[in-house]
Amino acid sequence: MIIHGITIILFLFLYVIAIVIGRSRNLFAAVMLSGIFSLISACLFVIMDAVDVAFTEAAVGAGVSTVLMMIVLNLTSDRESPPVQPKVFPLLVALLTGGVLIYATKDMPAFGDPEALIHQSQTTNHYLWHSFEESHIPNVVTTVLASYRGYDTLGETTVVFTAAVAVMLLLGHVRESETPPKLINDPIALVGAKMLIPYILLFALYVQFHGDFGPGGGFQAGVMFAAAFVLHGMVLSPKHTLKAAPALIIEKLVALGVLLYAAVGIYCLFKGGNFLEYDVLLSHGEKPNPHGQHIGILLVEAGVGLTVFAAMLTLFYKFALRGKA
Amino acid sequence: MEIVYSISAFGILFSMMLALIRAAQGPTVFDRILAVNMFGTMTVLFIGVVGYLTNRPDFLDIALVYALMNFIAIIAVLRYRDFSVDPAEEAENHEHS
Amino acid sequence: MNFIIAASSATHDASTIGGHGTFHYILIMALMMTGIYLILSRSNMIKSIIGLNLFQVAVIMFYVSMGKVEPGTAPILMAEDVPHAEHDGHHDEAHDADSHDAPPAAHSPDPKKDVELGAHTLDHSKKVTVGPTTSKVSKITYSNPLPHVLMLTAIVVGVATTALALSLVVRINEHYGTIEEDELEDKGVLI
Repeated sequence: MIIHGITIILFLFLYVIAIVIGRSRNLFAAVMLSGIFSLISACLFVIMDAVDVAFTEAAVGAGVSTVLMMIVLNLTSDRESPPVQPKVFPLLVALLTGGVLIYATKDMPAFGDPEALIHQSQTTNHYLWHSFEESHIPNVVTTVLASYRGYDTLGETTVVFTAAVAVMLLLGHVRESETPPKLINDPIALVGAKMLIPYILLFALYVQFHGDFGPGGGFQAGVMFAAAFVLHGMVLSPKHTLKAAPALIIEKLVALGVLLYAAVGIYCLFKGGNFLEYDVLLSHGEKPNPHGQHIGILLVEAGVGLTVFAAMLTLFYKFALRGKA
Repeated sequence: MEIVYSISAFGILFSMMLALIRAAQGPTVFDRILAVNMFGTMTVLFIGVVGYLTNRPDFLDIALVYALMNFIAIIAVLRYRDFSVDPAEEAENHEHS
Repeated sequence: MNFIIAASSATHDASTIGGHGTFHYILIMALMMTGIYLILSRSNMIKSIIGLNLFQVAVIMFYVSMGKVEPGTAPILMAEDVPHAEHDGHHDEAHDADSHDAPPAAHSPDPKKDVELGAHTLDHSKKVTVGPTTSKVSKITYSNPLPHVLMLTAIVVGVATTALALSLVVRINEHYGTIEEDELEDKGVLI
């Protein structure tokens, strides 16, 4: 009951923020508020038991998105021009679509209903009650992500790779700015960041490898790794970070992660199993082979983490090194 | 014990609301930045309380991520916002809208 | 057969609980609509991208809320449901040996049968599907992990596509000097 009240209050916050974002003409405020928006929605994910989703949303929505948007605002303009005339059509579309969707929710099972059709599925029950026997990993989300639905995740990793390549093509030739970005000579930020960066990297490693037992995994860890480098780049300058992590190497890592993932799958084919069937790794012929599953999931998560890390850092480089038009 | 956690959860929600009002109203950039930073701190606390309220306090490492990302977002704001614009101008603009 | 019975009982429950049952979904749909309104009504491209992000969060929340089971907890198995928690799969060979001393409730106590776990597993899953996500074996209910997995990857793909959109905005700004759709229209760029 208390949780129910908290949920409603958090939803109210979300509405207030959405309305303020819509009304504010100051894009800088809108971007900061959208950061808060994703923090609150991540709280809601925790309440709805989706800890892994909350982890990712906090890292991606509040962290990387805000950083990229702030850089773009710096490159373009942070003020929205006043609207020519109020538009009725979008409001009509939104109300109509919303009405239809709300009407459709009447047919849905009640929120949290354990009898709902989605929870009756045999696959779901197999994931929940047999994934531990088959892979010895308590976090069901990790097992489903990397093993049962490994094809999906390979596809998603490829999408991240493709998006990074597309951004590289669009912002490829680095335009040197006439006025080089000023170095922040703020000792507080510098010392604070220097102290934090090693621990962020350590924490990212923890997230990567502890993802089997708690919330975390390759996607989250990749973002955290990139966050450490982004912090370095912001406090000093992106050019300093380029010396520590040269763009040429990072760009190759984007591809290497996807390759590692696919290579594990193909290795499984050579060992006589199906694509991404980890049971054949380190196998003595027994069918539920938790050790093989463990190794497979570890390698695949490493591939995911590598690609996400390199892609996020590449995005940061491409945006941050771009000169002002 | 649950009553203590519930009361603190609602207390945190209330102070979140106050921070939100400040972030939405402005009027200057610095008000907003401070309010957003404070809001991030509140969410860290909130996750901690909710963890105990739902009897799974082992998810506290999520709160660590929140604190970290909040810090990075604030650094990004300070780094890429051009503060040479007079903050008073923004206040005046806000009244316009 | 089970599926049909489950479906009918679910709709029955929703109608008896009334407004409380699908209340969350209505909240989420309203949030989705603020996102759509932002995308359509704003001429500023960055504002549209923010609207797109709000819309994406609302969709993700919709999926996640469908995966919630009411007395449930996060789908990370707790110690009670982890038969070999102290080993965590360090030694593969230990797996067979261990079931001697601590036969978990879900397994058959006979260690020789452990080799045929596959067949045993299949048999077991049939029994479980009769009830909701609670197993007869475990006292703990877990929420449905499947929507979480799908949405987790969607978030990361979402930020990648957002970055792509932002890079297009940067290029448009460099080329035309504006990121307002109205002004681009006035210049005759947009049709």
